[in-house]
Amino acid sequence: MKLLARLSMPLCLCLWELAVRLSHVPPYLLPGPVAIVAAFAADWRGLLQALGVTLTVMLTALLVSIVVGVGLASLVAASKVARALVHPWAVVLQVTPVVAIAPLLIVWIGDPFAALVMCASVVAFFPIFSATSSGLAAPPPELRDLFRLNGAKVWQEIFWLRLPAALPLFLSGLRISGGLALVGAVVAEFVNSTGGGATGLATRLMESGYRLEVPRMFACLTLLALAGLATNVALGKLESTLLRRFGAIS
Amino acid sequence: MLRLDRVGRQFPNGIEALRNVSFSIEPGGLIALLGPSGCGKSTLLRLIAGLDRPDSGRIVWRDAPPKAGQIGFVFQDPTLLPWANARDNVALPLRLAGVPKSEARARAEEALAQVGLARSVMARPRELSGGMRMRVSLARALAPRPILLLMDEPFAALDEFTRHGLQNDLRELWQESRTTILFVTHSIDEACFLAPRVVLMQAHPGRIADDCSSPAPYAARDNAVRMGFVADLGRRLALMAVER
Repeated sequence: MKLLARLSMPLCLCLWELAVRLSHVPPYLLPGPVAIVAAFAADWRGLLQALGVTLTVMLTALLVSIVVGVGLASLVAASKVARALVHPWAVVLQVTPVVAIAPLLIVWIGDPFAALVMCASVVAFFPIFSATSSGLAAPPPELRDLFRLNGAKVWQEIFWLRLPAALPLFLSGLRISGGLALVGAVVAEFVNSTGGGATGLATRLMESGYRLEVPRMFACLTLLALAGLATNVALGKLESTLLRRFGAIS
Repeated sequence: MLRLDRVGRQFPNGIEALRNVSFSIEPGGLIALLGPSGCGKSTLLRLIAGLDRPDSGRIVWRDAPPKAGQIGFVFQDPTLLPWANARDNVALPLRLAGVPKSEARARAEEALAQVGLARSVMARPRELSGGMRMRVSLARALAPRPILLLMDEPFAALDEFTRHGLQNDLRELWQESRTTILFVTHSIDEACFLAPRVVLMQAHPGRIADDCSSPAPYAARDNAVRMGFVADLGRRLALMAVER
């Protein structure tokens, strides 16, 4: 079964190449893997540079989402007033499509990099905020009673009980946000590049589309997919390592 | 040490958990609060701990009311922090009270040794058996040297062998330290084995049915006098259930 799983990807690529060659589909409609690799090889430096820009936006947005998401979730856990103030706005941000907000943010913020990070953060922030909020409410009532009995201050309960208890849910939220940050970064780049701004992978993708360089488009798409996959795997590893260290799993 | 005077508690859903509960706790005593499920034993414990307030009556402390950390509480589940080792779990109440880390850890190790876990100070809860986790929970309650230790059916979820071992250890601990203990249980045998005084409760609403001395609390489990008392309490609890 493991062998089958390992062979499935190369097998599919071979079948794809064979089908394209045998049916004589032109590369501007559907390029084969060989044409895609050739397109990547022709401009690998430029494409990797563009990937670097997109990944920088994505990782910065993820960092911003962690700080803002965990910070607001802690505030909401500590105070009912903060909950009443923050929660509706967080939901409004979540349900508003980023494509609709992005042009406004780009106009308001001015600095292209900050604007892209902001757009991607708007998309990535909610899963972290929501999961951490649920996690902060998760400790068993007996442990909360124990903290009360021993005269714990609010910050002690947040930092010594609620935040560590929220770790498993925070990490699953982070995994979702990792993928969303990439999606947010790409969408924001699409919007921004129409005004002649960023030089990330999404910009290269659009540029190739305008020039009908479909193999190069596929090369961009492949890089984006690989970046998404790598993010997911890295965050998955981080999740299992931290949960093992924190004693949540054996 | 402490007197409960006609204490009553009614929950917002209308259920009367306790009605006119009056009894006193003397320093150094070990009292078993015995009764069927739903008779308000845990509610009573929460009221004494200050985690809940009575709707009627009052709880009077002979001296000043206890400060934070002076009441130890052992819950039915060990409820340990899964990310912390046994020593840090036990040190938690001390750290919350502002005791410096190194001193808190030293006292935690002392408390763990007291419950027979000197070799497991660095173990995480998932690496310990159910009985060992309960010992950590007991050490956590003992570490701040409480003036009153409240125990809410702590051994109910354990297997019989572990339960008997822990009952023996608790009895020895109490005989050595003379910490005042209020021990909630629904096991007649456990109440009579552990405590020289058994307060019997009945349900709907929760109230005191009797307050009696156990004739031979520390005798062997098959001691005739103790077995007679166990049988007598059993009959009375059964009668109460029929009357209800």
